[in-house]
Parts: sequence; C-alpha cells; structure tokens
Amino acid sequence: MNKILPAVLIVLAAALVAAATIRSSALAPATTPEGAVQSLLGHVKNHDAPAAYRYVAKQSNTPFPDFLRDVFGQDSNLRTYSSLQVFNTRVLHEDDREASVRASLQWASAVGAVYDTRDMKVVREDTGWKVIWPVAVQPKVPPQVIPVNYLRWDIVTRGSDDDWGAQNVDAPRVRIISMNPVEKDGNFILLGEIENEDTVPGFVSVQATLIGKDGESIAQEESFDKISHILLPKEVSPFRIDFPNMSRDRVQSVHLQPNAMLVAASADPVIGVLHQALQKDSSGHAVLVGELLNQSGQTVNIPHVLATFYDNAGKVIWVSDGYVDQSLAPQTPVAFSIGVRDDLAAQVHTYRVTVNQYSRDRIQ
Amino acid sequence: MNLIRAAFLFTCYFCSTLCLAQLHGPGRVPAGTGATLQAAGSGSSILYIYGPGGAAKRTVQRGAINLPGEELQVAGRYIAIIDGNSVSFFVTPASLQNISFVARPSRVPAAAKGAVQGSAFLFDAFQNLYLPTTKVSFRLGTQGSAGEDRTVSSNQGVAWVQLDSGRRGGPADFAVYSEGASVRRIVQQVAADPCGIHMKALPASDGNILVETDPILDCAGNAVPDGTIVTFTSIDASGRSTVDARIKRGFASAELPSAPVATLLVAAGVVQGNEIHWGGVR
Amino acid sequence: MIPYASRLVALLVLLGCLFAEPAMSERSPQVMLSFDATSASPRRVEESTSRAIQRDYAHAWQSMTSALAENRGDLLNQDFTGTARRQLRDAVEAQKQGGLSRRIIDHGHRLRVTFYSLDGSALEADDTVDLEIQYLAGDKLLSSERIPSHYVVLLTPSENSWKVRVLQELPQP
Repeated sequence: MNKILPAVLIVLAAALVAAATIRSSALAPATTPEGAVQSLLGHVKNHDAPAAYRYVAKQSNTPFPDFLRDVFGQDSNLRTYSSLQVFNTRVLHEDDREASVRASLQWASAVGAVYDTRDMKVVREDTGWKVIWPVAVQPKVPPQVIPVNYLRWDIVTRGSDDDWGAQNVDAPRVRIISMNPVEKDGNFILLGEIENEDTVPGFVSVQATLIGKDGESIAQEESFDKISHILLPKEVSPFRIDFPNMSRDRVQSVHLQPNAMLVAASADPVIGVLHQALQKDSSGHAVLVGELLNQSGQTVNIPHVLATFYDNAGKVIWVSDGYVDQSLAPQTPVAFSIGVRDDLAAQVHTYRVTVNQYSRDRIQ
Repeated sequence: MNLIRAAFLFTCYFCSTLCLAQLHGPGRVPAGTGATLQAAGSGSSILYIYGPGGAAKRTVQRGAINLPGEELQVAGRYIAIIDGNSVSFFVTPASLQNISFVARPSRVPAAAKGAVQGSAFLFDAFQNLYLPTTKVSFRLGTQGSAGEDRTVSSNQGVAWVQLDSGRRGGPADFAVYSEGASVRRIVQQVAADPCGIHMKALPASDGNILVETDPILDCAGNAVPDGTIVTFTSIDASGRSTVDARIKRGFASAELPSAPVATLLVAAGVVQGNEIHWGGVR
Repeated sequence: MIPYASRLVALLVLLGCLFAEPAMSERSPQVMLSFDATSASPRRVEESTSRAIQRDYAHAWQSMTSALAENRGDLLNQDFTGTARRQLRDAVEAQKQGGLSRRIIDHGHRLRVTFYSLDGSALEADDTVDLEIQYLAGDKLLSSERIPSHYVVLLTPSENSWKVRVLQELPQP
C-alpha cells in the first residue's frame, strides 16, 4: 500500500505534464493561413477566448476586451446567447506574407441557427500566421439626458368572473391587407402584410390553414417570428408562413386567420432604418444592407429586422428576416444585412424594412 | 260493534290518505312569490318537489301546503308529488329588474354608419329572462351633442339596435332603459383613418433632414391619437431610409439622414401623404 | 413468465374497460334535433355556426340529462355557463341532498333561431321538445310524465363551442 500511493502520484503527474504538453502544442504557431483561422475559430468554438486571441494579428489593433466583446457579446445582445457550432474555411488568396481566407460560420443562438460568412485577412508574423480581426470601434455615447415621453398603453379589463354583457375593451381591429402564395424548393409559402387598423396596440399573429382538393384541412401553420408581433396603431407588418414539403398542386384554398390581442405596450423605442440598399455580398448573393439607429435612450438588446420586397405592381414577392447580433446602443448606428432570394433580386422594385426589438430591461 | 267501527275508521283513514289523496297546484305563480298546494285529506305525508333550479323532499301536513318564495325563484315548470299524486305548475318571470347590455364595439371610428350595436337582454331580479313584450329605449350621445335615441319592442326578452357613431371623437354614452331599469356603457369614438397627411421638411441643426407633419386629423376633423405610426421615407443616392415615427401631441416628426437630393415620403398605415423632392427640382 | 405477465396485464386492461365508466355519449343516447334558422335576425346564421349550434346544443341536453340522473354537477361545465349552469348545479346539489334524481328520456327537439346578434355574441332560440321525465327518490319511481315542452334558450360562444346561458321553460300557450 505504501508503494502504491507514490506510484499513483507519479502517474498522475506524468498525465498532467502530458496534458500541458498537448495544450501547448494546440497553441503552437500556425504554419498556414488556413490553420491560423481554424485555430482561432476552434478556440472560439471551445469558448477559450485567451487562446483564440493568440491568433489575432498585432496589426489588428484590437485589444483583448474588444475581441472578447466582438466574439462573445455584451449588453445581452444575441451573440451573448450564441455559440459557434460549425465553421468551414476556404483560402481565397495566399502569398508569402499574407492571405485571404473565407470562413462560413454557423452559430447556435437563442433564435435558432445564425449563418455568417467572413472574409479574413491573414498575415505572417514572427510567431506564425495570424488573423487580422478588426473590431468596429464602438462610439461612446456622450453622457446626456434623452427625454422620452412617448405613450404607454395600459389596460384595465373586467374580472374573470362571469359578468356577461358587462363593459369590456375589445381586441384591436387588424386586417390582412395583402397575401401572395408562392412555391419555393418544394415548400409552400404564404407572404403578406397585416395592419393594425385600430387606435390601440395589439399582439398579432396570423394562422394559415391549407384546404386540400377534397375540402379537408391538410396543414396548419403560424407566422411564428416572421412577423412583428406587437403592432402599434396603423403599423403594418409583413408576415411569412412556411409549409415545408408542401406542393402547391395539393392546395385548393387557403384560410388565413389574423389574431389580435389587446396588450400593454410602449410607443418607445423608435428605430430608424437608414441607408437601405440592395447589394451583392462577397459571395455574389443579393443582400439588403442598411443601418439601424436606436433613437431612444435605452439599449435595445436584440434587434430583429424584417424586410418586405415588392414587385413593380406593388405585390409582396418575398419576406425575409434576420437577427442582428449586436445590441443597439442609443443614437449609435449598427449595420445590418439580410439575404434576398437571388432569383427574385431582379424583380424587386421596392422594399420596406421594419424592426422588432427585444429589450431586457424594458417593460413592454 | 267496536270491530266494525274500527274497520270503518281504518277504511276512512286509508281512503283519505291513499284513495282520495288529490293535489292541486297554483297553475302559474310569479318568481319569488310563495304558492300554496292543496292536498286532500289529513295527516302527514312526504312532499317531493322538483323544479328547474332545485329539488326538495320534506314531510308536510295535508291540506294547504305553503311553498315559500325562496323555493320558487327560478322560472319554469315545477312538479309536486305526494303519495303518487302529482301536480305541475309554472313559475313565471317577475317584473323587469336587470338588463344585460352587450354594446359593441368598445371603440368605434367617428362618423361610421351602423357601427355601434347594442343588444339588451331583459331579466327579472332572479335572472329569469323577462319575456313579455316591452318598450326598450337606446340612446347614444357624446357630451355637447344631441345624440341619437331609438325605442324598440323587445321580443322574447331581447331588444337590439344598430346606430351610427357620432362625428365627434371622445367617449360616448350608450345607454339602454326599460321599465325603470337602465344600464350605461361607454363607447370610445376614435378618429378614423388620417385624411390628407401633409409634411414639411427642414434642414436640422446636425445636417440631417427634419421632417414634420401638420396636425394629423381624420376626415371629420378629429385628431388621430398619439402613438399612431407615421412612416417617413427618404430615397437618395445612398439608398432608402425609413423611420416609423409615432404621433406625439397631434403630429409626427423624424430626422432623416442628410442628402443633397432626396425624395421624401410620408404614410400612416395605407394612407399616403404628400411627397417632397428635397434639394431637387420639383 | 413474460407471456403470463402480459396476459395478466391484458386481462386487467380488459376488466378495466368492462368496469370503466362509459363516456357520456354512451350513457345518454343521441339527441334528435331539427334546426331552423330562417327566422333568425338581425344577422343570418352562418353555415358553420348552424352546425356548431346543433352539435353543442344537443350535447348540452345530453350533459344535463346525465347530470340530473347521476347528480353530477361537473358534467354541466362543458356545455352550460352563467345562470343556466348555476341553476342546474343548484338542482343537482338539492337532488343529491334529498337522495332524489330525475331521468329524462329525450324524444327530440325542434330548435328555431329567433335572434342572432349582429356581433355574433349571442343567439336565442325556441325549442319545442318532447320529453319523458321520471322522478325518483333513490330507486323508487315517484312519478313519470311525458309532455311536450317549450323552452327559450340563450346561447353564447366560448373559446371553442357555444354554451347554454339561459334555458327557461315556458308555460303552454
């Protein structure tokens, strides 16, 4: 027994030394540009920020806290609730001193998978290949008082007891102002717009039932997050309802049911959508880009952008959405980019962008 | 002799309790009022009574049997049973006491045809539907206006009306009266869709374009409520910028990004306003 | 061992099925109902509403029949609301206290809609119904009668069905 314990300790010490050795080899200098990007992203995936930061080139001029904020989020933004799941890299260009590597990233987030493509410049330094990781400088909002005196709607309803016929407040009147069924990649998709026609805010959703050739209901779906759920008076939201693996031939008719509930709401914050333009991204795909400007005094944690695309007859031909992984600090523009179907890009005559917002500290 | 006398008395008693036992009811009785049953014979028996809102079993003395008003509050058919004999009678609704008034909608656009609807359900004090035909008056009025009155006859306890909303925004009294009973509801008359939104544009101090509407009114001249979304759009060389502003104190304003030349648009819901060509030639 | 256990479970399930309380639809026979909405005013009764009313009103009579026969007020919750539910629950409670019950044999209804509100929130109808009612104290039949009855009914919609709010029998004219 006296001999066993020292033996165990020796084995344990050896194992620890081995582990330390392995770790140091994982942090070994990258010998190729693609290796540098893969090492950096690998450590991001493992939530090891210091290790990932060792592959950031000095010329990035990115201090560690900025890198940390960029990769792991801050202010309860979407990145805070995300983790890198999968990445693929491809070298676009390489020479002795620098290279360009495209990384396709898939993040798992609170709102589902988020896809991102990033073209990274990689440079050779004395200690191997390093990735230039520029971080947009967050403009500091000067200390100030932003007066917010927008409306809030509070509701007093009657009790739950059975006082039938007693005074109550009606749900807001909402109306579907357009609807367009399309088929794409074997999916049946309903696109349209809904307006709150009332003078009070509402929580809205749209439910669709597909009726088959025999008159029976064959599928039912809801707009889920492809809609602005809180609609203020006269506000218009696009909606999109996807029926996966549903051929248009099977559908005889569609029954759309708009639902609205009276909810307490605030008219704040106002988010401007500036400099919207249709462009091609680095992969040559059509995207709608622009900037979001939070005109209120409180941070918006998770912005959600919804875009409605119209043809030259004013018909809704597509609705797409995207979550922005940065939070919106007051009075600070944040860029966004959402995908547009390449096959439809030429038909897009005009578009409209609306923004949903999720704010941690805001009472709705 | 005693035996014969005893047999006679027993036969009389038997017949009085069984053979001749007959029961008479009141026919009809208003709800909440007592009633009397007449049970022939003497002695005690068990009375069973079944009604639409209750049932009871108790020992009673034959003759006049009083049923208290508390047992006869629910309108409908009752059956009383004593020793296999039964009698039915009806409890009818008492006088009109309560009105359930369903007024729709709680908010209505001003000056809308037939937009206000009211259904009045007439009840007595015991929540029995009051069925006799009776006059029911409805009145919809806002402060300072004559309002609109309508009197209709009820049919099987129901009266209804359909009225136009007033031209003036604000809370309207919607009341119903009948035989001393009345109920009042509030119908909020709100501005309808904006009518002719007009904006102007000015250079803001920070170089942006400040757009601001005139007071936004509906076609009847009512102010569109604060909080209503007004969308300002600027289309310039850099693309399109939109701000969903809210009406505040009667008008909406926003700052759009600076541009040497831009087309400025304004809309609320599906209602378009004027268009401004900023920096260009109109 | 396993086949024996399986058989035992199967036997228990079978016994459970045999002794289980039957569903209400099995307890109370289907209600025959003819429906006429041609006199409805001020709003026309939609086809889907007609179907829903017939289904829910027939079900309400089945529930009421079972509730009064078995003295179970809980059976009323699905189909009755407001005054009608309160009154029928009171009747069931009172029957239970006195050891009484009543058995209704329903020979059919003629339901005629007289009022359907503009906002669709209330519907009133006349119901001419042929009923046989047996009044019982324990198992003893006290009285039995077969009578044509006339009811006025007020129904209001709930989340997914129409519920009877007023069920009031009228004297014979």
